[in-house]
Amino acid sequence: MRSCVLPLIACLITPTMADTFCGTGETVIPDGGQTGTTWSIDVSEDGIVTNARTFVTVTHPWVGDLRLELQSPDGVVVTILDRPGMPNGGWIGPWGCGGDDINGLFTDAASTSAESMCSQTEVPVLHGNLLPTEPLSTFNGHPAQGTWLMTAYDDSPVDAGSIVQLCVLLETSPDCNSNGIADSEDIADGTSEDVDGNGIPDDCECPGDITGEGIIDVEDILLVIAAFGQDGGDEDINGNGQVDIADILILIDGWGAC
Amino acid sequence: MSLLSLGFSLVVMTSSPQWAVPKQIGAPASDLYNNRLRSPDPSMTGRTVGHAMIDITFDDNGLWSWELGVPPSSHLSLLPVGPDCDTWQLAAIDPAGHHDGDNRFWTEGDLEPFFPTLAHRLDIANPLPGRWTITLQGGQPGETGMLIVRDRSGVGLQCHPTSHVALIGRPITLRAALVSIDQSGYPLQDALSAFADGLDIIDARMTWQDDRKTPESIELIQNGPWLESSFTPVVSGPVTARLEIEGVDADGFSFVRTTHWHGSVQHEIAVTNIEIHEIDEERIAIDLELTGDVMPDRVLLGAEAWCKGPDGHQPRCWIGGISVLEGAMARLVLDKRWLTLEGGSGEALELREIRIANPNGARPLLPTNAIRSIPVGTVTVPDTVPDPTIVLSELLHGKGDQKAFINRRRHQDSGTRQDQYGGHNLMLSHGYCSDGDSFPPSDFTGNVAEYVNIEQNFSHDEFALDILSFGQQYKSYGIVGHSQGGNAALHLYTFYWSGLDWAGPGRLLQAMGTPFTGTPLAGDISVLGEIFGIGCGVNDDLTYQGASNWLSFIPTSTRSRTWTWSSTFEDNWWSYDYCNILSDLLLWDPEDGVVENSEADLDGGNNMGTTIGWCHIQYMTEPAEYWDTNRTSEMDAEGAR
Repeated sequence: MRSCVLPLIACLITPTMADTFCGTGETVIPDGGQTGTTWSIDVSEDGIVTNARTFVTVTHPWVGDLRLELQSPDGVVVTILDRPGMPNGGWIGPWGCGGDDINGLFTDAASTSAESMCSQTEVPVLHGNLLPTEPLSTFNGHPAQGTWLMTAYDDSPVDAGSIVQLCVLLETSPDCNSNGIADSEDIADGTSEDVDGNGIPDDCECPGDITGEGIIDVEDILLVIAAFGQDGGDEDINGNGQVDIADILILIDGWGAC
Repeated sequence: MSLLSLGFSLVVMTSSPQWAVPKQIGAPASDLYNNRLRSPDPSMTGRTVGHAMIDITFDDNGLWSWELGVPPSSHLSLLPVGPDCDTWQLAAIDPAGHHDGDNRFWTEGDLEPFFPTLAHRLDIANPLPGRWTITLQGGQPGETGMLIVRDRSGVGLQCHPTSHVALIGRPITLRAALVSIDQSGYPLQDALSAFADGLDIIDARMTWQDDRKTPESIELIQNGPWLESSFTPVVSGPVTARLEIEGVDADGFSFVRTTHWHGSVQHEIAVTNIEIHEIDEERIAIDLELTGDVMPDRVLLGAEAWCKGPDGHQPRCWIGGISVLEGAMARLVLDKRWLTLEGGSGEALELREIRIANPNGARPLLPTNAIRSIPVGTVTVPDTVPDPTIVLSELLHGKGDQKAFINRRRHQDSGTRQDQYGGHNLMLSHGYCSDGDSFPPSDFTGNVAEYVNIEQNFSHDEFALDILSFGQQYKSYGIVGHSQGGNAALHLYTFYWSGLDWAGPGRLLQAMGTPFTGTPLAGDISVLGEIFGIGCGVNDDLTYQGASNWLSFIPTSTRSRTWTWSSTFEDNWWSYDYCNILSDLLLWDPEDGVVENSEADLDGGNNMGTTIGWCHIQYMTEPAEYWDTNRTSEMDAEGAR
């Protein structure tokens, strides 16, 4: 699924390989309350997260009040923003950044921290690429699919705001063995074999089960023998371009139920 | 105040150190051409006085007498002042021997709010010129006081220092002369012309005393119309010189004038090394290594930045502000974007008119001409400044990365208020040495915080830091300041980051009865206060000279965020009117009992004019100006929060 309903600038900086999922929820952020407002973001993409970013549009006259948390479907919570400008011993003062509004992409690749970006003249005060309070790479390896929750808190009384849009931008990778590591990494670092070179760890499939019955048996070996010496085909189990003795050895090695 | 507010306030006050972060101030060259950011000419800071304060000491019989020269004048006022002056009996015998007459008017008046006693003032219309005999009886043997004498002869005594520098071990020279003046005390001619017209000083006496409190006489040298005297202070702190003169006019009629000059002696420092380096691509730092026997922890800096451009070698901007010493280094910061905006090429960059002063009173810490210039060389300036409106705050106030210090002021008294804790308020502030009576919060309908810290003698810097401490409990605020509260507000906004910088739209600083260029009462009332043994003492920032020095570090950008109001009494032709029976004799009309209206205007500010029928504070002849709901409702409606 690819749904880019973000403002143009966000779409331009969104890598084409990333999928974007935007949420829905109550727009008003409770002012000065213990509870925030939570938006649900449904992600249909399978696999695990390899790079997460989040796009936030919030209107608020005092962004120093705001705290944002993002939770993955398996319950991992990352603080995206934590009352920018607080605590400090600097010019901003004891109540955090008093600028208006957020319209930016939180990404680990940003060079400017959202916590330190503050201005009296720029609106929205938090804009462009923003380094989150905690790294979004914390989500790496966790399942993408499911419901993500973004909660916005307003920790200080008086000034109130609302959410306009919340989205997560996810780059994912298959993880067929559910070990939290992308299949490609498993194969590359030798954690998994991929004898047929199809990019799927062998522990997720059954090379040699040509008939697809879930067992390597005499039917499979007869098919290999029948195709012996031919180029390619399903019987070329190791994918070396020719059905040969090596393919028979793979069959023998994996003989029996997958 | 709600308990909730108090609870939160205490958490804020005690949970973290309160930082004060100075601003790096920048201002355009226009602030130099209009002289707002140039050191004021000392001769322009001297006050002109039309009165005399004559010492009274009763003899063993409880009597005191004085022979007073009275020139041709439309009016003569005599006011004996002392702790028990309500029991004294004044007699004034004119040159013809008359004790009384239809032209004499007695007034019993209250010396409040200055001193808690009644006094009796004698006003004489068209007094007979010549030698008068003034007698007082009813005093206790040895009792002291002062006789305030004011005539309307149009002759004033000017007295000023020849330099703003007052350093231990270096002579201070005062110069005085007689001039003709108008009804508001403004000179109508210079001293030389007045001398040529026959005004002359025939007798003079000067004493000075420093913090050791022992008066010393000084030799006076007459040079044409000018009297000059020098003395050398040996300790730091307040210093006062008192000049008494007897003058004569062209017809030979004599008169008396006295004046007090108040200064503040500083420990001298020296600049022993200068380091220049880049902070970032836009700014360069000029670090000054300071040495001295007693080192300050922070200093007030100012300098003009000159460089070449198509129009030649010209001033391009002014830089300054308060710098916290790091090691012994004080830092000036130049944002090179100023040079671009002002047409400079960056070639032959040079700092001139370098000033290093005490943040309290803006008194110089360097001897005169200690540093004439600092050559920086050629710097690369940006070709353009993309959007000056976006970076204007950085150009005017800096980037907020100036070295900070812990604000030791821990002001917690929040008085009565209808504030919005953690929110946006209009802060009401009283003035110098206040008893707490000031703008009534109930006259304001919006969110209002009331700053109260009574009977304090703060410098503007101390006052501003106290407001900053109090303001920590609010996100943002505008300030409505009465009297020195207006100075403190302007000082805070100019020199430190605070809740003022986060206030919303509207008038940020609103000042009523604020002596932006000083008031003579800052010194004269303290002189009288020593007799009464009460009062808050001399306030150097509020003297004419101190205020002028201070104001010369305030750029137009912050002045323009200030709205000012002044007041005066209703002056009826059939009566002698004033706000206060005492201060009337020390101030030039129009005045409000404490501040002369001309000194309540702020050059570069938004001056809202003078309202008749009000005085500075309560206990005066007209209601206190801060009770004027016409003006306070406007302040309420227009104030930034």
